[in-house]
Amino acid sequence: MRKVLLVMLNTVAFIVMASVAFAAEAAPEVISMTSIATALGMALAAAGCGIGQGLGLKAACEGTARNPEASGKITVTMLIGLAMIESLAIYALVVNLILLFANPFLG
Amino acid sequence: MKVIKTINRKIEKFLYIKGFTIEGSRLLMRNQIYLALVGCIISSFLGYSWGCSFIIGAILGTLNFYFLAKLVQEIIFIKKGALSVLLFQFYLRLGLTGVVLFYVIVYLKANIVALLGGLSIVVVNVLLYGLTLMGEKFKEA
Repeated sequence: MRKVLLVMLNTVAFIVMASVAFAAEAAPEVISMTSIATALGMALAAAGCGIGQGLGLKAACEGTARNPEASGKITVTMLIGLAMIESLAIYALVVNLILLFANPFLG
Repeated sequence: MKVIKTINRKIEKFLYIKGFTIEGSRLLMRNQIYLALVGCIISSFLGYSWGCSFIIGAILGTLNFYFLAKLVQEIIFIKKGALSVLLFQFYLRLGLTGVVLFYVIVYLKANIVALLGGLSIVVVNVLLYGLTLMGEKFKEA
């Protein structure tokens, strides 16, 4: 149920945002290719960051379960890893937003 | 020197009250605040567009890091029934970050290099902290 709700919300968000993107005066092929590139870019970034964060979290949980006394150090190390991975996702989001809404090559 | 120590103590006390119970995370957050402040002050001399974009990026990165650090600590010492609230906060934070970035890039026409520079303060902070950790390991060996 939650997944269906998330998919529906995402679809609505993309449809709303697409009107802004399609308002630009450019060839339809260019716009469609840019949209595909943006979607692929964000999907790859999200997938990579998700896998990375998941692996980090898994290792941290295992470490804490084996040695609860070291939970403090493990948490800080995990925090460092998560922050770095998440900043990559934010970079990808910025690049994709530029591609979609403020593309310098589309005029 | 005494003034810096007093400021450090006050910031760490504030962070402890806010839920930063682990010392390492408190240090990371404190350094992040300092780095963001220094970055904002320096960037304010580099022109209006650059300065504003950098400051927005720095504030966004710092807030993101603050809530991420808080969330990670709350997950470690989780209480029954709080997981859904934490997950909601996590997605809300990501969503708000996306909305703010969208608004800044599309409507405010921010300087992208400066914005990315401001967002990169977190990475610089983490790398610096990692370097200090490496030094500690060498000392122990």
